[in-house]
Amino acid sequence: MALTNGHHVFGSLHEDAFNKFIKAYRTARPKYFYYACPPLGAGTADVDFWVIPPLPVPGTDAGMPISVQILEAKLDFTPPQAGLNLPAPLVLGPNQFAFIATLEVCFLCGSLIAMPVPPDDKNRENPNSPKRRPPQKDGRPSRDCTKLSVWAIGHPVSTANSGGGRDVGLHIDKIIVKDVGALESLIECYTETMVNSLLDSLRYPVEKFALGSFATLNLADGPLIADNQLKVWADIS
Amino acid sequence: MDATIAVSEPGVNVVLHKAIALAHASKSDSATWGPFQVGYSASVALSGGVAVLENAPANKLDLNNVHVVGSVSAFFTFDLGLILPTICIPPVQVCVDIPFIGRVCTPQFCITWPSVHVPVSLPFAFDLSASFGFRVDDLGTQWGIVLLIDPFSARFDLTPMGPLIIAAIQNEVSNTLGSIPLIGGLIAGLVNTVIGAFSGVLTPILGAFGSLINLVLHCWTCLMSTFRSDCSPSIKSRRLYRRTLQ
Repeated sequence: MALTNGHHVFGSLHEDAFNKFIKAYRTARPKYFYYACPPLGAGTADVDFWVIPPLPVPGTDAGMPISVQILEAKLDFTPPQAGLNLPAPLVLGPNQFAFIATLEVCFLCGSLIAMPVPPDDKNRENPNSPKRRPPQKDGRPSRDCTKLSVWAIGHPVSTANSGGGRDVGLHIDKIIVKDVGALESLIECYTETMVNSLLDSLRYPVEKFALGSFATLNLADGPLIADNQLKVWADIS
Repeated sequence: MDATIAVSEPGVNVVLHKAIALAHASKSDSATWGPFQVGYSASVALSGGVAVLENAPANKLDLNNVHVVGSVSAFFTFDLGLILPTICIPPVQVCVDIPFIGRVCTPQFCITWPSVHVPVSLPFAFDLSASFGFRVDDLGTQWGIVLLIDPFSARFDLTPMGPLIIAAIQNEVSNTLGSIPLIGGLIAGLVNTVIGAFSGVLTPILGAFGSLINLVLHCWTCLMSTFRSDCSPSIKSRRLYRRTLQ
């Protein structure tokens, strides 16, 4: 059966290519893989890492610097590669991909950064009272980090873009983060949101997939994951 | 294999017809060949055509029955005085110097040759069929799929139109000379002189016309051959196929 399956154009990207693309994208746009509140974050802010606010410390007008970095990220399109061990209840089914990553989360413990307080802050009994500072930790601030292993499964999506065409991308359905105790569900929610934001930024317009000058490509079928590839079919108009 | 791109035969035909829709072109030029000044313009339009992908091992794209319609419009302007000899009646003028009167000559009438302007329109139409091979060019951020025109050899040959042009000039020169009194018996020889002069430059003139049309056709083949993509073309099962990313 013809690859084009009755359509004008067929395109597919193997998981190996996708992983190469992720590496290349990480090199070109490292900030999408590194979120940090200075003084955490290495390199140039907004280039090497995405600047995020500090983690608020309850009861104060200050926050603790935090960073989240995706150290390793890999995709596995169905069928699974040998050696892929997804933790229960994750199962890689038809038209799905697995996402395996290692995250490093760091706090700059003992360091506090003043945070802007909304002008209509009603939390203080006396709005004119001086800002409350938490008790300072003795000694110098220390960078405390932990690494988290993340497993996820998801499916390909297509969404309308501003150019009137369709963007093809990936979306996480379920994520598992182990060894974080009672915080597991919270960290899973946080991580899923972060990874999906990253995947959203990697969506690609179908119109640019193969043709540039002569004609317009319109997504006709897919995206579909099968045979370790992400597949799309398009018609030329 | 990291990526696969396949284009079906109907898809190629859609691209082909979009390219053909753009293939309307015209060009003009002028030049001087000896006493002949020639201005000419060529227009070409393409329509129709069917693309057929041939499976391996042929790995070819056959382009069949592309209808080519166009015309060459030209004008020839030349001064007969630069071609024909001076003709005076009588041929010899006798002059004598007479004292107190001065120099006196016998009457003589010399013909002033006019300029001639001959417009020619040469319409043409033919069907073009060709087979294309493929080559992949690494263009840096893009890969180019180049359609190789070999053994395509649609060089436009206007030689058969030579007699039509000569006939048009012959007719115009005859009419022009026929309006001049007293040279009735000389017209045939004078016309032959003009045609003889023109025949010497006819080949380069036709070559220039042909080059103009081929240039217009070449613009279209360039258009067809710059189909670019992020894939490389090895045809299998009527598909343009794949390349591994580095």
